[in-house]
Amino acid sequence: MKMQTDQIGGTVTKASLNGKLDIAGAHAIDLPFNVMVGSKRAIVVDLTDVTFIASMGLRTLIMGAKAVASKGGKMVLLSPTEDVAKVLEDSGTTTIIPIYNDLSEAVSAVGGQL
Amino acid sequence: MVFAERIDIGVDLDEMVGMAEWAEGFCEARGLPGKVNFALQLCLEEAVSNIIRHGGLAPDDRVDIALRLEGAQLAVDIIDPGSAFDPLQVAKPAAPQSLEDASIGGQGIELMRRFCQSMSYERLDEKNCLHLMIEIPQSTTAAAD
Repeated sequence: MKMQTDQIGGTVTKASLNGKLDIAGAHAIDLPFNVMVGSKRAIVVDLTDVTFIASMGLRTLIMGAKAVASKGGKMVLLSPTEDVAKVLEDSGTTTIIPIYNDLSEAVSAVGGQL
Repeated sequence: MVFAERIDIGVDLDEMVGMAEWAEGFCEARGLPGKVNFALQLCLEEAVSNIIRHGGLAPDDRVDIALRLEGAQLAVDIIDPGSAFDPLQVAKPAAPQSLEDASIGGQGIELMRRFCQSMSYERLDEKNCLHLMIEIPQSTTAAAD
């Protein structure tokens, strides 16, 4: 699991995850992800290249979204694959972290503009 | 013809990486679709990590996993010598209503229920035996034979 961050739309941070968000994958991005959610207020997490997710990956996303929200910011998810989207939906995660399939809509949702 | 493979891993989350690769190899070798591999990986990660973290295993214990094709289904057996634990008795978690109230964790067994067709449990010879069936979409079964 790899993570790359880019500043887009002015104040928005896009975090692109790549690989399996399993136990090992969640552990691999733990530090950079925590640093990001602790320091940024508008985050789009791009899940396009995430091929797998289970409980530990959900934990990373939910704890991250909580940390951002506690500072008055917002984190949303972008373009999960069908299987990853099913995990997000079946776990109720989509009711607390919004999902978008369009980058500009995701950026708008966190207060930015492309 | 029945295809069956088994593996056993130690009480160490790091060994789950090898388990996942083994399971993926099983699916690839039999031409099973990505959806089946995804469901298998999810069920193994949730079940086996629960066993390793909460199963009350001794350091030298092993967790046994077996996979085999049964018609249009992938059968998964997960056997551990830990404390008796029937995951089917775990209540469905309440859906989170807000980010502030959302609890972390507790979704693993519910996700397994949703990604496999059936789950059964029995305690045999002081071991937990969890049996899962994952549906293989019919159109791909012929190609796997």
